Amino acid sequence: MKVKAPGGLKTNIAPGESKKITVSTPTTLRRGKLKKDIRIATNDPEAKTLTLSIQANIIEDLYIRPLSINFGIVKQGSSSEKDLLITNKGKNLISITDIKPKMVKMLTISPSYKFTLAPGQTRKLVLTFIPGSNVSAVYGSVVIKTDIEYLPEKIIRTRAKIVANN
Amino acid sequence: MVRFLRYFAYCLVIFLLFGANSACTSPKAVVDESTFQAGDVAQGKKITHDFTLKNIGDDVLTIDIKPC
Repeated sequence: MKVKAPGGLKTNIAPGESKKITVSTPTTLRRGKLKKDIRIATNDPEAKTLTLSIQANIIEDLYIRPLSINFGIVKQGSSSEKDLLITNKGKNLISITDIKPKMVKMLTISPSYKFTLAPGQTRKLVLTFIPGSNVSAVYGSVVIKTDIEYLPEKIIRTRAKIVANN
Repeated sequence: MVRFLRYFAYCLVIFLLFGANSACTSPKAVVDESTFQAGDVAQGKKITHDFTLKNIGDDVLTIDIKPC
């Protein structure tokens, strides 16, 4: 959340004067009810603290579930598959312009080409995790790029634990 | 009775000198709206709102804004 006020966040207001306080908050990582407060300490003897609040209901036009994927324990030499569902819950066409795994070289996505979702339409992606040679926990993500001006991408976190195949 | 009147006069002088003076010179903060209802907002859109804080008192209002 960002707060701006002329003169800074700690300032004076002369008698009869007013000051505009601009509050802005991103919603990219929010869903459902949103409430953001700012508190203002004053020297007004009757209102030592004022609370200003922004409230909203965040709607997901691009609905992706699950929000994170855990492949669990994956033995070397095997693989693990998980589904990712992408739904257009908005009123306009949404183009998925790119789908790429980030950081994890062991992750493949099918399909990984561009596609368009009509309102109400759902598309299933299959994510396949193929362990590498190191026995370790692996954390990564899938970046889904869109043509939505205010939501250029969504990121789905992934993780897996690679164990030796004994 | 004289003692009471003397005490009353003393209190009145004290009030006029300090009490009334401080009552007249305190700042008073008023906000146009303390809660902004943005309604339904598409995920990704930034919510921005201007709140207006006015000092309707007759002394300088000092504010210290603290985002929670």
